[in-house]
Amino acid sequence: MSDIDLRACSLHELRESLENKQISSVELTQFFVDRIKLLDPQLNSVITPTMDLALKQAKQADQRIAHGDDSALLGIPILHKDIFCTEGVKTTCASKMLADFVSPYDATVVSALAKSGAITLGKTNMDEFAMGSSNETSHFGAVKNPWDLSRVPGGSSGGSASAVAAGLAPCATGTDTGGSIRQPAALCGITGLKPSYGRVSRYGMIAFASSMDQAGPMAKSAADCAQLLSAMAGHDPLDSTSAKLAVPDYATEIERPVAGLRIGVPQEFFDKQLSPAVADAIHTALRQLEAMGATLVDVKLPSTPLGVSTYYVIAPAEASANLARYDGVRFGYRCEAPQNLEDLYVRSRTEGFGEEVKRRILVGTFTLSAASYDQYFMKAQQVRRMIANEYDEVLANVDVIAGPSAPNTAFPLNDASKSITDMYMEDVFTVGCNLAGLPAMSIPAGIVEGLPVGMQLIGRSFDEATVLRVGHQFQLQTDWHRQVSRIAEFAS
Amino acid sequence: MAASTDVTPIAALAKLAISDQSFSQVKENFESTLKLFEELTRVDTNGIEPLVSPGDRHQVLRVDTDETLVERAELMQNAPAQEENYFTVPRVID
Repeated sequence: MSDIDLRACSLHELRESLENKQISSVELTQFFVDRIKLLDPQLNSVITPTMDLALKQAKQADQRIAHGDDSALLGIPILHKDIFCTEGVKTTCASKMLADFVSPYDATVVSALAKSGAITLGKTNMDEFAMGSSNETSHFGAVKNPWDLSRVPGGSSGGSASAVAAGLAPCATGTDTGGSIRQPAALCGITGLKPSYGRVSRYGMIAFASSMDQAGPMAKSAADCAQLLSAMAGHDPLDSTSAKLAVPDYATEIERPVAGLRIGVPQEFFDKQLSPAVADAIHTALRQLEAMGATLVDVKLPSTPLGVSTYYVIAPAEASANLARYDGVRFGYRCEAPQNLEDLYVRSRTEGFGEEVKRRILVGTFTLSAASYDQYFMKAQQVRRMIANEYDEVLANVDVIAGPSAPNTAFPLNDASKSITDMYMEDVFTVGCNLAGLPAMSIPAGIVEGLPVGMQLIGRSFDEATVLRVGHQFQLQTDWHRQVSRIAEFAS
Repeated sequence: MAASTDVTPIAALAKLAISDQSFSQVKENFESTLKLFEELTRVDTNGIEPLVSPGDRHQVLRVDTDETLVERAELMQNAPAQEENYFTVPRVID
């Protein structure tokens, strides 16, 4: 065991080590349990560790391995974003509203990964109800970026990104409604994939904006994400929006070279909002893809600047409807000594939700009200169609679109100079894919002043295979994904 | 002051209370977000069908069968207040 660097191993290498009995799942799990105990007090990336459950599952995995079971993720530890319901374990969505909620069932993502043999290490911190781009809206406190503890990890899947980047787990789950996998993956220097809308079941994933929410993998490489997606993807009768489509063999697909692929580069992704240093890093990464035989094609997505406003009409509208269920009656927080039913509703919601969640509920309630429905909500749905059409037209002529994942590297925590709408602009390059339902991935593609830069790869609907393929081939030729934060270097 | 703005009736619809101390900040944030949306009103969307969901390509139907995914007793474990397996709330009829 001593000669394996467990922090650096790919999922495939970990599986081989387990298979060859170089290490047991109990030892592997204990390694990451110890790292969480040792290092997470600095990061705050885990809300609920599930050490006892993990070691129990690891023992069972070792027995299965001994009996010749070769399930793809058997014995490999994973962290789940605390938005996924986990039976018998607290599922808080990083909100006071659900601080004591214990789910009576598993989300399909959780049960699918468990079926593949993954070990649940715990539940990761996040922006409250997945609303945020800095992981500062969590009821359980902000998460720190392992590359620089004074900076944000991005959000909303900031806990998952920070934990993987710090080597507290080999991989994690995340969700992405407007960039919540890709932006934190970029800011923490890991790989994160948002699959096509409908590729992965949303059953048991606490709803934010139901027409855009999608679960996906976060890990050290595209190859690891491919392995995780294989376990997560597929039709689920419990989610009527999950697609009845066959899941490709991603492990095989990603081995095909990129030579001959056409990669669209939208000029709108390189406008004045993009930091010049990030732009340089992305251009260098694009030249690398070109050197590998791909053809770069200038493309236009003219409605890109409208993406943020369109998203921030639609997402809060859907959130205001979804979050109406938190009324203090059936589950979740209830205020002390309510005077009457109205008082119970109002005080439970006012005391149970944080400021950003309430802000979005107010905006969503307003845009759905009769007087402003056509002006804002219908209008946004029409612009959404325009944006989706533009992506479809471009992707009819190129295999993937490439550009930055986020306009900047990780920004400082508690940045008072950033207004609410400045924060929303963090999502300018990511929201388009959610509005259009397309798959997109962020991969490490450079380092600027000690902080990682993420390149975004966007694919055709349900063509995660090509996105993963381009990412994997890029990672075979570069080592940005092998660069680790100072905390990850810390040996246990 | 509170009665003269749009935020108060919206908050009432959303079953949220805005304290006097936070009112001006909430109003300012609300208005700055609406300002962000102004650019949408200038877009010519004549004849464009709204896109409600990327998954709206087909309707999914299934046989209407009765099944129990989670037992009632398990669901009730998260109830903030209950009596004889029913949720309880303050009296609504005098």
